[in-house]
Amino acid sequence: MTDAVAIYQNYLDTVCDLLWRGQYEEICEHMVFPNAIIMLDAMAEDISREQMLENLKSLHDSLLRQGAQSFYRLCQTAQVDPLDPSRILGTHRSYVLRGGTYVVPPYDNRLLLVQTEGRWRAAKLQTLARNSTIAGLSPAGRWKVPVDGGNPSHFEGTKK
Amino acid sequence: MTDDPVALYQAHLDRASEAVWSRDWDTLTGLMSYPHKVLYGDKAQSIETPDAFRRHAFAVRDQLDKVGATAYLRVCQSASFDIDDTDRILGTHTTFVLRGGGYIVPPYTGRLCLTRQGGKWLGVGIWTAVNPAKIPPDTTAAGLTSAK
Repeated sequence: MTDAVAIYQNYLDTVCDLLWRGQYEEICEHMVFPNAIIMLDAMAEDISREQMLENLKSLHDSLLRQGAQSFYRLCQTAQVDPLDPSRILGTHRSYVLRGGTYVVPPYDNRLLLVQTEGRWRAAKLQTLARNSTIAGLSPAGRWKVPVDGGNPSHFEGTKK
Repeated sequence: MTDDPVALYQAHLDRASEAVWSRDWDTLTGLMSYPHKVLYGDKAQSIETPDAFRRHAFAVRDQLDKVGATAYLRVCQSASFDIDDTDRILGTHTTFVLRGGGYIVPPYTGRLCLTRQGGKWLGVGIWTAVNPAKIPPDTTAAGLTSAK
């Protein structure tokens, strides 16, 4: 396992655990703001900490409402940006589970981590999930519909 | 039907995991061939009949309840057809025993052999690093995930 993969998986595990415990404030300590989330049918690129708290609660509620009993994210690839060692770009698959079954089909994601003040924090997430299914963007928040849906170009080429 | 060995392997894992969790022993025993080899760490056993396999799986399922698992996920890491026999698939996977957003035991590796019989892919044998019928109660009580 490379260091980047270990860092990325550790990040995913930490946040998943906190999400399931409802510790949204603590999750925000693992993020930079403004933050960005791009889904297939909704996106927001200037998410404040306050909005993120609403988004996290929305996500957790959405998973529980659908009967999920576990939420797991597994790193598939991760690499340190060769031009900027304070960035890690990776991909992971999300599993929304109830016992031995998937509540929704597993879906893929890309995540940008940046290292600030000695901690790796999420800066931007692109997911091939729909907000109408996995409500990662709160209905109460401001978000728009992406022009080209899940086009990976949303994520690639972004430099924070 | 797909001829992608990774997809076939993952489909077998998913069907078997779902059957274990829902205690659907008829489906589960129908996914295996007999005698069925089961190896945990360096301990091997041969399960001769579907009924014996059901008893074995029953113990696994009970243990998942006992340790408070809310999900049982197995993810294929690699799979390929046997170079000498295209009716066999050999692969590796990782098992995740979960409660909510965290692990109950550290994820562990498994290896599985499938064989095609009468057009169906059946499990011939499995090796895993941990005996799922003996998963210890939360070894991550200090927070395997949150302590990171």
